[in-house]
Amino acid sequence: MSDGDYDYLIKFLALGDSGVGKTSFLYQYTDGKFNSKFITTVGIDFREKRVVYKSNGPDGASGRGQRIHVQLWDTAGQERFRSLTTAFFRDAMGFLLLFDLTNEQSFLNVRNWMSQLQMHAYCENPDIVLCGNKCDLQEQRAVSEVEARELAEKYGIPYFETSAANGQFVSEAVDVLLDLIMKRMERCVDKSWIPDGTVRSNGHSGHEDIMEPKSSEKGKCAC
Amino acid sequence: MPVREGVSQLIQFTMSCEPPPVAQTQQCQVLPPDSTWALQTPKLPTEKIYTKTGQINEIGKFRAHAHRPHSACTSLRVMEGEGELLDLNHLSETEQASILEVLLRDSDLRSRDEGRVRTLQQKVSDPVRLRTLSGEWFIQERSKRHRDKKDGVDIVQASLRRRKPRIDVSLSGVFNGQKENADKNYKKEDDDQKSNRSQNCLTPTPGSRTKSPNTQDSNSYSSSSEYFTRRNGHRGEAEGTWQDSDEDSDSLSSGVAEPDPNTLRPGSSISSLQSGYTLSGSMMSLFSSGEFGAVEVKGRILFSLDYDTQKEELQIRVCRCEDLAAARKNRSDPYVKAYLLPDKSSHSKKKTSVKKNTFNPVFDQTLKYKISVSEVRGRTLNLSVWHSAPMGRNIFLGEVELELTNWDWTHTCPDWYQLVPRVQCSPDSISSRGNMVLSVKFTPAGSEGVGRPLTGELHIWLREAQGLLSTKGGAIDSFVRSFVLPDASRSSGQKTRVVKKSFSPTYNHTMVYDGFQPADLKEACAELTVWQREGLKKHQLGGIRLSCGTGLSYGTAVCWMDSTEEEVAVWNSMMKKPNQWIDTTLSIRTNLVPRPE
Repeated sequence: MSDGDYDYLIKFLALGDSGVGKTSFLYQYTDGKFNSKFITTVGIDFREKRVVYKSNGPDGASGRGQRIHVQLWDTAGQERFRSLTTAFFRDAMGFLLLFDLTNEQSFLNVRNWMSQLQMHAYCENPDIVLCGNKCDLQEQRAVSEVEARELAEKYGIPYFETSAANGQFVSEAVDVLLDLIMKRMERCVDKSWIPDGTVRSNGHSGHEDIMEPKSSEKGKCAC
Repeated sequence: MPVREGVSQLIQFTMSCEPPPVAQTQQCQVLPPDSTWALQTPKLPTEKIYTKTGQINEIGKFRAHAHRPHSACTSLRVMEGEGELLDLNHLSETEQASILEVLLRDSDLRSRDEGRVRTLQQKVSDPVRLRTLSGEWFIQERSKRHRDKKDGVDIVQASLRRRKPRIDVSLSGVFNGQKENADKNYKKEDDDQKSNRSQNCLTPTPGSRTKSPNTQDSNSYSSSSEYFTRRNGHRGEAEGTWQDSDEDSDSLSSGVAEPDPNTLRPGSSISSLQSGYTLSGSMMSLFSSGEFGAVEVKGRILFSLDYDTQKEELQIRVCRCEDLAAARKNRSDPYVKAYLLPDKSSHSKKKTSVKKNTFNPVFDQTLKYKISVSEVRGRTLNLSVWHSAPMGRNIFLGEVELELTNWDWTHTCPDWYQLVPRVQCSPDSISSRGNMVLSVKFTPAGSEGVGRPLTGELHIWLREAQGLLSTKGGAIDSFVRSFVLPDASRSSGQKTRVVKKSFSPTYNHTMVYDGFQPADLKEACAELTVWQREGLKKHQLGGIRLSCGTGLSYGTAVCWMDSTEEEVAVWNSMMKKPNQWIDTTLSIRTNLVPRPE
């Protein structure tokens, strides 16, 4: 991965009970692979992925893709790592809150995780996407889609039924989170910020070089 | 409804993390449930949950706020930690090492990103765009909530290092789980703490000998940012310190493995995290299998001793060494260093020049000490051979020790001595078993408001011991016991948890004694003794006594008022400056006058 050939470094964090599939989810997202063997995460880990984000301007025109380097923190769900993992909450710009559709308790604990987030995240209402994982295991399902959606609605956060095993809605969930972050970023800075959809490739104006470091390979994902 | 079950479970969960009894009788800070977050289910006992959580969350602050209703004389209470850092001692060494590896990877990523941002700063003129591209927007948003700008990774990293016990990271009530751990520790403080086995990998591992008070350490408590900044910009300076200052981390006080940080540094050292790693030898050793950088001692040294009675000078003629171990791949740059023990200060240190790239260096240098002949007889000569690593830590290649008590001074021709690994001092000859790092404070009655506290309180914040020296050598399981004399009863006695297998155990334990009038302080003595535990047995290694050292208590002559000058000075400044923490590092002395039990 060459240095700095991206426009934004975006930091996400996955949280949820032990065994809900956080690591698998991220592995599926970054590598498109799945390993059914359960390997418990020791405290903390992270994965990286390079994506291109196309911002949709108010006129609906999609701008030039912006190169995003996504750092995805993976946390241990186990209680004994709690103090450690919550410390990392403050570093993340957005959160993937996972529960296991086949494990009701993990769903009940979503509430608990939400309050942990509220306490420890960078702000009181960070961007979160709720993911009911293991949706491929339909026959073992213990949480209905309706009640999960209800909960997500109460919190006002998007909900996805995902499968780290077959990849269903995994990248969609992350994409939505990314979209939320990019929008929040726009809100946070001056309103005059304009997505760089208008940048030409051959001009001499100051802005272009910034987005196109000469050495970089445009749009190439190095992950 | 399933959600309800979840709540009852949550309550159980919080109940099981009982705060210390003190905490229960004290304030229960109720965090306001945030309406946007709390589920809109009125019957759920949401507030109770918050109360409990808040309570757990605030334990770290009880030291500052708690005032017990009772005023029994010389009663006590204990709190674990000050709450700035995470207590991660319950994690195993392997787990901590694994976490550190992740932090290192992150540090790498961050330093690359810092490089990107620097380029941006030169290229982007629009400050608004810069704020988004650099991620500054996020830092700004976060600073609205978290006053300190520390990243979570930095806090974790500092917590794992834990070398500097008082890093002023204000966590503003972060870290719920930390308090849970603290609670557990609290409950088990007297127990055999299975969870606290990883201390020794987190603190630099001093060798068998005690370390002289390290001014650099105490300075760097002052603030973490200062600490990191200093580390950041001045790598060279710090290295200079290892080489040349009186600190002598490369010799007596440190273990035989002094890894050269450069060999392990991934990428440039930009971020504070990275430089933290760079400096901590013990941290680096976490990334290697055991004794990274340690070499098997071999070879011998040829030297002679002479005492010039006219000049009153001890002359050590270091001729040469043979067959030294290779510190690096087929290479050593050896030099020889001398100490006249027990003096481990710079006055006692003499070095030869460094001979480049040889296992058979010829020095032919004479190291001279101005010292009276009678004094020489009380000393032990320590000659150690080191590989010089200008960019990193020097590597121990072997040593020789000679007791000079019965030395035949007519024997002035050189002899060969086999180099040996670090050896232990004879326990009898030791006057100090390391240092105790602590802070004391006196809070007079009513000094924190009406009736707060009800009686004067003596606070002893026991942070850590440094270079703890056992009778047999090696890392030990230790704890500290306190009494405030003249009350030597059980109710006056208090002890810390046992910290296992550590040369530099972090106790981070606050003992509070109340019922003091300011005048009582002159008559009292706070005795802190360090104990080694081996199985069921325990024995005292040494201790300190903080008092006026008058030999008198309430008019009665007592043996335990035997404080040293340094100890008296600490006690005096505490009396002079009520409500202020007096930070000190004191020698754990072995000559406490035994008091009649």
